[in-house]
Amino acid sequence: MALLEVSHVCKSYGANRVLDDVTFSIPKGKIVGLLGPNGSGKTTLIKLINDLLKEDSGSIKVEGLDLGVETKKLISYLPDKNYLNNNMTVLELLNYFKDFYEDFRIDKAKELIGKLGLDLNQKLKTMSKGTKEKVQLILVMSRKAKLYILDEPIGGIDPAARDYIINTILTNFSNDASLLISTHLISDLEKVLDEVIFLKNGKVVRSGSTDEIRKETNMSINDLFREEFKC
Amino acid sequence: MLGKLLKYDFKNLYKTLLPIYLITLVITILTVILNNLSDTSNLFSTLNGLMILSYVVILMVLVIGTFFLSIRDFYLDFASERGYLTNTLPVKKGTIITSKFITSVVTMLSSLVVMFISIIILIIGSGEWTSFVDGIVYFFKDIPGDAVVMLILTAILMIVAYISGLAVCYLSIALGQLKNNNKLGFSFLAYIILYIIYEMYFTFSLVFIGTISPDFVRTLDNEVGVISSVNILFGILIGLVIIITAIITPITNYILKNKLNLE
Repeated sequence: MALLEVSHVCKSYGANRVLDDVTFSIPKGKIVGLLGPNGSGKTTLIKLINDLLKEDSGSIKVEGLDLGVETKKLISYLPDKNYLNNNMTVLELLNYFKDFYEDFRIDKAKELIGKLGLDLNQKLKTMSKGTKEKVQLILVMSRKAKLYILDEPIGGIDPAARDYIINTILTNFSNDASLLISTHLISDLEKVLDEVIFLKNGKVVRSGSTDEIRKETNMSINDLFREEFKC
Repeated sequence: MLGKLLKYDFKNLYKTLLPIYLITLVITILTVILNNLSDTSNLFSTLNGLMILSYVVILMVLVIGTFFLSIRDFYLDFASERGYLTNTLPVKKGTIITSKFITSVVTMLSSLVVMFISIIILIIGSGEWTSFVDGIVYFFKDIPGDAVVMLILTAILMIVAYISGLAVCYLSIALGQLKNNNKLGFSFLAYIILYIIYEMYFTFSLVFIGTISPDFVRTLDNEVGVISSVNILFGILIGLVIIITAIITPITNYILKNKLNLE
């Protein structure tokens, strides 16, 4: 059974069709890149998987379960915006995650926060945007989830911070879990992706194993992306 | 999970409310001091006037602010960026909504207690405590049984009406978030429409009761005392408020569970 099964999903905002018959599945233990230019529907698709939006038609299942409380226990999700309460301190946030997620490893999170040199009693609102993003990533990656979904975790971030984020992701996710990561900055991630899904104007235009796609097209994923989405 | 939600919801609201409580008590004490000094000079008399104005304002902030904070908290947790966390918690939507109701009611009650304490301090400070207590004792001394029932019913009516008011606001936010843009504006619009429906519901229900049971209305008019009539009316109103709240809240739950639109 696939870990994530997205089947014939359609979503429109008014007359604007954002996702059109999207179908794919993600097996266990894979790092999957959800690739597409801005406005291709990546974030909408991720929100649907996280039950923050409702599909017009089609279905989404995680470990064979319909979306709901049980699937939320399995997914660790990093949105593309600051979603934490700015009035909370880092320690309060760690305890919050510990209280609500059984799989949250607070010691791991404290270790990662310590490496960043952050004070546990510092409030989120006193931090820079970049530091907040790192705290969010630490919270998300400190869960021992089955499926990690990261929406543009390296978008708009300087190269040094990008390395930190990629390293944090790769060293903190277990081999039996899967990772769905949306990005348009492929060169930084290409080497770690097992599979890719190309999304264009709300449709899956290509999907499969990165090795096979490279062999088939004789191009790197980065070059193929540029070719596929050139203006 | 309800206990955990309550813990964080209370913490979140009291982070703002506790400083307001502290300011209220400080202004109360300053009002008492200046009130006692107001006869000694014109300056203290002017300051006393300003302090009384501040006192009235802070009492209004206390009550209106508590209500506003509860509504704002619900909006932020369901229709803003914070909703990305709230709505991905492995918790039923109904449990989150229940936590919001409980924290809203408890914080309002605690604000009313602070207001009550503040008024008591003001009375003690003005040297009127004895006559105040005498007045209360006198009021309750020969109070008829019906009047006691009326006081209890008034308290119940105020609490259920507050819960119902929250329910209307929560449904307005749930409806407003269905729109892809200007969610706050549509929440206000939904509130206005719901408020009109809400008022019509009470009017039509009371008219309906009068129409189907004219004997009952006649009995209210003629045969029972004024206080008993009011008690019966309060009882009917409490029932009507509970019914409409019991209809509204599952709709809010349904929308947030099945039509969430964090676009």
